[in-house]
Amino acid sequence: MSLASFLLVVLALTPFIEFAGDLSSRNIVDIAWKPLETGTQGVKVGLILTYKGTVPLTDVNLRIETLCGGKTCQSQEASTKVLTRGERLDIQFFVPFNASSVRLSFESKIAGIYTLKAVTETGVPGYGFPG
Amino acid sequence: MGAVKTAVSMLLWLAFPIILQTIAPSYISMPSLSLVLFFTCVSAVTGAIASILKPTAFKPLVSMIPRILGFLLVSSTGTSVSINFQGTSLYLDLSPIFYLLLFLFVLVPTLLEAISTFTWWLEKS
Repeated sequence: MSLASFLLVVLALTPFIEFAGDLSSRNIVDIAWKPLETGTQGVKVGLILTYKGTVPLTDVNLRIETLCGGKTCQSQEASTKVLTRGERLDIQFFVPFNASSVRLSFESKIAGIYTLKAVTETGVPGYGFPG
Repeated sequence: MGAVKTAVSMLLWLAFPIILQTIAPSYISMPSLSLVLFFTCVSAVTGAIASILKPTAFKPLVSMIPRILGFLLVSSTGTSVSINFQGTSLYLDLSPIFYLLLFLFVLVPTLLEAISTFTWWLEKS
């Protein structure tokens, strides 16, 4: 019973340890932005998120909010059931010219067990979108 | 002997948050030392009582207390980790592993002990 319990705990901890190792040793997510078209109100941007980690992510949800003067003026979501190494998540969103920043909220489960949330905010880079 | 065994197991439980705290001091909160000492003392006493009790309906309940306290001790250190990593705030919910520990080391042993006590009673009567 104790050995079985111990093995079960080790089994449950393995994806977390593997993910933590991935996170500390390299960049596990590649984010590439690309302006698609420029209108009179703003720019339509395409974002590609490529996952490079070894542990599969499930119930993946990516939310992009464009902030204008501290308030959300545009938001867009993309989700997928499973994201494995090398797979991409594509999303297109609109950035008005008066936007101050863009907030990326990423939520998923590591190997279907541990909930992971990541939030990052970046200033609107104008014409020079990185990636 | 039961008290010593329980105290040692409690100290092992105690080592877990200390190791976590050492690895990531700014992310994981440490319960106050007095709380930890209280848990350890109560667990040692209940462990000792459980070890001298004859099999009755109360024995599984008494022996369950140190396990529950051990679990509370670990979970009081926080079941989630928040990290600010290169301008990105990361949040990791580790509660599944704590639920698993609760199930494996508190609920299942208590249930097994309760069944064996009940069987002993049936055989006796």
